[in-house]
Amino acid sequence: MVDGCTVNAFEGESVAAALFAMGRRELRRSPRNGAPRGMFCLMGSCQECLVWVGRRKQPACQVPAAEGLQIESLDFREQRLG
Amino acid sequence: MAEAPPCPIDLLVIGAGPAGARAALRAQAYGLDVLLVDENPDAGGQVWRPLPPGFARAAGIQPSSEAVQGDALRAKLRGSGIRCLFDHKVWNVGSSLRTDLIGPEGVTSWQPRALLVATGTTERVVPFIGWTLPGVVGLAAATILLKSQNMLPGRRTVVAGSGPLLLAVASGILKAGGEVAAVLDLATRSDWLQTLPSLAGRPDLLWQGVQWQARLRKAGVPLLYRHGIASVDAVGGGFRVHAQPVDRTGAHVARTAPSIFEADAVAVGHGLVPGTDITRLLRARHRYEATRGGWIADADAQGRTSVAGLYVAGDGAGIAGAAAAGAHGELAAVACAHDLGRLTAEAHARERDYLLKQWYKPARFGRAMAGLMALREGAVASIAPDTVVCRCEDVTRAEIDAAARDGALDMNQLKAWTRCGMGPCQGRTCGDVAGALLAAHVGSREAVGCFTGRAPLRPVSLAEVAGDYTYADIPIPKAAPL
Repeated sequence: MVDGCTVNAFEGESVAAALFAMGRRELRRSPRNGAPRGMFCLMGSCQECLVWVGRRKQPACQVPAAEGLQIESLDFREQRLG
Repeated sequence: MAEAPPCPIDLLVIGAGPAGARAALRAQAYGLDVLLVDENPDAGGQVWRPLPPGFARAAGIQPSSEAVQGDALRAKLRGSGIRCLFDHKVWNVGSSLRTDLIGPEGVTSWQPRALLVATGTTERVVPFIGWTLPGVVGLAAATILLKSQNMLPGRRTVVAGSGPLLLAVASGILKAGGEVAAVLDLATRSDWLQTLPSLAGRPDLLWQGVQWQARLRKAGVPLLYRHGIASVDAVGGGFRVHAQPVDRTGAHVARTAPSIFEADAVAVGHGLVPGTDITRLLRARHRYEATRGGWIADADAQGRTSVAGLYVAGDGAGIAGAAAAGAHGELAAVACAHDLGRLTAEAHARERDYLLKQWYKPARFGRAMAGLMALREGAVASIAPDTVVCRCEDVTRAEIDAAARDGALDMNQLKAWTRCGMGPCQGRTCGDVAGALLAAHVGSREAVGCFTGRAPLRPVSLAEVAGDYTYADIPIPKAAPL
């Protein structure tokens, strides 16, 4: 589940790759300009693809997709919590 | 629950790529108690990245030689009984080398007698207008998609930048059934030919390069030498990529009109930058060597740094390539074993000389490739003023130039004045290019230095660090008698 929607993924592929494959390239907005950002380095360094995995903010490129995994984009959680 | 003391260990190795994994195996052979830590789910680093478990090996995909080498290493590690903590990030290292990790079960702390940093490199991308658009990814990122996710960066991709990854990625995309709109190489054909003498020792790699070229030619992919990306515009659902001729320094040649390529993805990279977060955090001495990737920890041939007990190995210690990294890791392990009293001076000298011979040939090749990937000053000079340089904080080149004109003399002042390098990536993405921009005003890379290393090295929440620590755990000293 990503932002409340079900996403199909191959078990073990990264969450970033799974979202990219389904056409979701934008993962967040940059904090100052509000410009769209997506996965960039894919090795856990650039932090562009940060998402919420439960209580932890993690780069989506480092999180393997798994059945029942709950992911929220930063913007989605911010809106949900007001 | 009060904080537990850190677990003692002889050697903690950070990074389970070729350098770190081989170092761990070697150190264990000398009887050292070793802990190997990596933020990825398994060993192999970027070069020997495995497919996810259960992924379609069964689907008849021919495993690459890198996958085979990686699998052999992973099997060896599993058989060795070395303690490995994968999916664990190092978020802090203290001056006593105490290392704080965060993993699926929360935070743990370790107190090693020796610490080996084998954290490899990150990719450098010289910014251009549009490089922050989703769908523009690094060349190394494209390699990871192709290699470990069986995925294309797009249907039609422009591949641009410098170094051997260009042809590897373009050829990989074609092989996987994708389209390559164009390959834009900052180098010329003669730049490549100059690396031939160092390639003599590696006919296998030379042959691989020839095959890549042939595949591109057969597919009719335009290969533009001495070209770079001037800008990428988002148009409809795709990109319009403006390719600009460049001169020897990588500077855009303005009088020529750009060629325009339509694509839905861009893979771009301008070489690799050694990861020095941890050695900078520990205030080890560093030096700037452009042809080895930029700032590197000052170390001897076996990776001993200026800080007692702190060692570096592999590409993170200065780029020499994956093939050289294994021997370099073992050289560091031999140094650790000797320095911790597990190896006599004679045995140490013998092992060291043997390994240096193993290291030399692949390192010579790797350094020639690193030379091709070195930062080109003209490319930095050509960055347009309103281009975002620091992605985390949206700091533009114009703002960096303004800070320099206002008197920012080093990287830390630049950071304090503009927030450049202050975001969650800790300056890993922008630091090298921002340093080059500031150095153009101040005089030299040495004069501007690099960002001071700061914890947390990876984003971590206060709740995670505090763990189960509660109000009752706060030690309150007995009140002094009145």
